[in-house]
Amino acid sequence: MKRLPWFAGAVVAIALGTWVVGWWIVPIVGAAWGWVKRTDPATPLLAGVAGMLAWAILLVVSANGAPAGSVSATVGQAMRVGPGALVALTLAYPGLLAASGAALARAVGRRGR
Amino acid sequence: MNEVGGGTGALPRVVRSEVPRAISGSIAAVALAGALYVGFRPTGPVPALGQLLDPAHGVWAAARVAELPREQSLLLEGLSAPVEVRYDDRGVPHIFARTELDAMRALGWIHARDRLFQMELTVRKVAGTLAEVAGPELLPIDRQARERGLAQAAEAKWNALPADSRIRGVVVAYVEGINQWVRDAGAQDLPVEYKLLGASPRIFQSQDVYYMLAEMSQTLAWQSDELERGAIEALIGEEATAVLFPLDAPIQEPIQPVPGRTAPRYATMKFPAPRTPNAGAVAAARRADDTRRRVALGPSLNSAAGAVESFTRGEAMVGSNNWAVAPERSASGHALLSGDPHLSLSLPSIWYEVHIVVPGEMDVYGVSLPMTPTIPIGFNRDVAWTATNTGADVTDFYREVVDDSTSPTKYRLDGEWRALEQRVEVFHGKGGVVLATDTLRRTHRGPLLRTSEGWLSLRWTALEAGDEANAFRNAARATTAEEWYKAMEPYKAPAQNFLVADRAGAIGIRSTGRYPIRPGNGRGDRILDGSTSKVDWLGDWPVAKYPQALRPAQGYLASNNQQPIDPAVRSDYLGWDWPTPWRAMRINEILRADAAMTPEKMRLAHTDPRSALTEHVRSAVRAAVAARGMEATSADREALAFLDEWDGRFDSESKGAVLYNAVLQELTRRTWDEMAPPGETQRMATPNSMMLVRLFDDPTSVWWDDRATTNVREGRDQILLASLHGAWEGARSRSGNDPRAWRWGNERMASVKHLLQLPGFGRESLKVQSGPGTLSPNDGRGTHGASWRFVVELGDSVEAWGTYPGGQSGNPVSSRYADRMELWRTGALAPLRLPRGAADLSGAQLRSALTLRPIDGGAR
Repeated sequence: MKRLPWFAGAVVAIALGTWVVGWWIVPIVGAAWGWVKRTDPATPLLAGVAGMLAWAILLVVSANGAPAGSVSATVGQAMRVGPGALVALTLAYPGLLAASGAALARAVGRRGR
Repeated sequence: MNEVGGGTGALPRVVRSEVPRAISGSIAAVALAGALYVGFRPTGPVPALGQLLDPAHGVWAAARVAELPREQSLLLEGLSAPVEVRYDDRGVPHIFARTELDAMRALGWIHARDRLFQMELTVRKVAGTLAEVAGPELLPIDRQARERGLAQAAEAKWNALPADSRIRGVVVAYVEGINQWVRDAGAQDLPVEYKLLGASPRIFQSQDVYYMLAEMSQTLAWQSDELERGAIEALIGEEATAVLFPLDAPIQEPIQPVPGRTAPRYATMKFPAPRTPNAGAVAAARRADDTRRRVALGPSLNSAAGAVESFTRGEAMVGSNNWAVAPERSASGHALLSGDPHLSLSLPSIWYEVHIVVPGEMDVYGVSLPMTPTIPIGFNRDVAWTATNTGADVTDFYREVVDDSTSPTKYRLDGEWRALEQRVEVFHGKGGVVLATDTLRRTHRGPLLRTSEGWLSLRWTALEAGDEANAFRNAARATTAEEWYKAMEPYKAPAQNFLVADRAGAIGIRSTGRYPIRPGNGRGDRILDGSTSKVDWLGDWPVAKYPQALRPAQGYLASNNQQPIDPAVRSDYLGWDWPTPWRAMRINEILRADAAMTPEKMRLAHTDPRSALTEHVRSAVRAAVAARGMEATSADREALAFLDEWDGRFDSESKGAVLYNAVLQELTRRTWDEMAPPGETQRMATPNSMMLVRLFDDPTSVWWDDRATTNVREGRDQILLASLHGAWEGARSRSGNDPRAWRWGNERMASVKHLLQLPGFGRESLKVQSGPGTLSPNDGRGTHGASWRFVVELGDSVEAWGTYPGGQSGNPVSSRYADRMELWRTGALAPLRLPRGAADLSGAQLRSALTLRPIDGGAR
């Protein structure tokens, strides 16, 4: 339960950060969490999930009743990937960024101790 | 925590702990580096993923900006007063401004919001910089664009405008409107194509407006027929070429009416035998054909190569129609006008519908070209206008004598060497990488092109002076047909058959544009000798000589790209190898037969399912089967019965149309086999179906002979019978053994591709009502068609109906992207809303209200 506030904070930080400054905030938030909670081996995994959840929320917000499904179908076809694959890629990518950022920061932090 | 030492045979605990930590750290570092790399940098054809997938700013944001806000109020720099924009339920913006400059500034902003990528693509296409955003595959198109020099011509037109001219102010305001949208746009607002290409929008220049107008010349007035003629002459001889690709159409239903004539005129024809080409002639034909392919390759993003491969003179690549009836031939007693320009189909559509109101100055509705502040086709409260392409010969090629065959610096003229103008063009790809460098040269005539037949210079009206934007601007204010034509006199290119009707009941047509006066026989259908200035143009036709008619006695007018004037009336050279007359014959038949036309009848004619060609072919087949009854098999008789049962309508449920079209294709293939080099099947050119019909009158012509058979010389009836037989077998093989299950709609579809041909962004396999020679023709690929259909009734108040294939938005996930496609496919039209003020649109008719406010309150 102690991880929940950190998890929620990371989701909010990633979502807001992406909205305001851009996608590259994702590994920074992940790394920050990984550094601060470097003793917790679950941090990279949780950061990854937070990244995915944050972008999933943004997808919903971005759609705002507009045809997000149409985006995945149309753009997915243009990129020659299926609509599902585009959604999966969009969720996996921040997961990878946040998790790898957190894992790297955690490894560096623990090595420095 | 970590201890030093440990038991024998085991790693010290510190090492055991550090190794996995180091490994996991390394894996994380590699994963992060990889994710960041693909996030920031494109990988092969895949754009940078970070920006692309970012749900707030990447492709997903297309959904957020897909629809127009119900209400919006924004500041727009440079306005003198607020501008009210009301989008109606069809997504058409109605712009209400106090001044023309304010209206055009708003139009620029509106165009940019809906069509920015299309505008950028058009400008880059003319400028020859497509590869900078779309990659090196488009380098050949860029090279050709710069070689033709349209961008320089457009800039020269812009620079020639007086500093204080009204049109200059209009263009500047319009482009500033575009640029303000670009500057204010966040990443989330940008068209999705930019994100897929990993590109950013440019800041537009005023001369870009003239690039767009130049692009229309490229689309409509680029002709390199004389290059093709060289290949054909080498293959079949000069005499046969002159007959099969003639100066004058052998069936005349001209644009300029011939008083008293109530039917087409058929000229008598004699078809000379083709020359039997020897190896040298075939080699010459190949050289000429190679030159044609290199020079004629239309710089189209929609399968440029395909357009050249299927080159069939005057048959299917054109299809524009317009017609008007005077009050005495309409049911309401008002003049009616119908427009139906055909172009290459694309999404977003080439057109953008708009209504601009500046009280006391202009109130004009129609289709604009995104990237121009003009309405080339439309109407105001008094006058309506539309256009078809004239197809006049306004390009000439000259074979130049140069001092160096690989890198010339001089050319020979009247016995003296003249220096070539030279400039070095550098072609860039994405990220500024240099892809190629070309040295481009010009003679006093125009660009010098390197071909397999030597160096050819080009003269083209589109590369010379003209004031098209200003002409359209002034014409939009006309209150009578006469005023409209007067305003359009400075218009030079591309030459168009402008049809006009006014509220006072006048209808008129004028083939407007610059037509060069050539020395000698006045013709421009051959490559000319560039070593003498005696072949240079002497001047231009005066306006009075243009093909035209105003208030014709017959009470109606029509144009369908056909030869404008019957040579029996006046025979000045205007071009050669004119498009087939079938559409002209059909619409004239409809208009002659009905003295009570209505807007609904005008609408129905757009997709009229009949063709004037059909009965020529069907009766010839019928006669052939009768004449060669002994040879006809039971299958042939069954096929003929099936063809005879057909009602001649090319509608999607038609079965007989499938067989008819197969017969026509078989007949074309078997008849014109001489148009391919000996031993080959790929024709270098194909005479159009008008020649085929005229050849029916000569049953023993040598052209009927099938070269593939020896010791027998086939005649007309044998070829017709063989064509019927082959068509029947072929259709059964392709469409199934049961002809009752055939459907024309499964064979002839429209294909509206995205400008970049991105899969998923186009609309394909659209069942449309069209056939060979119908008013809505389709060459089988379905890539060309009606780009805007509309009907206007000029009564006490103006009423209009229209649609185009696509929608107002360029955003592929917007409900306004292709919302008109079904209406267009079925030939239906939507009523156009014509509010006089912003308050006139409300409730369900109002989709979005936009107020553009001046930044300083309008004090300037």
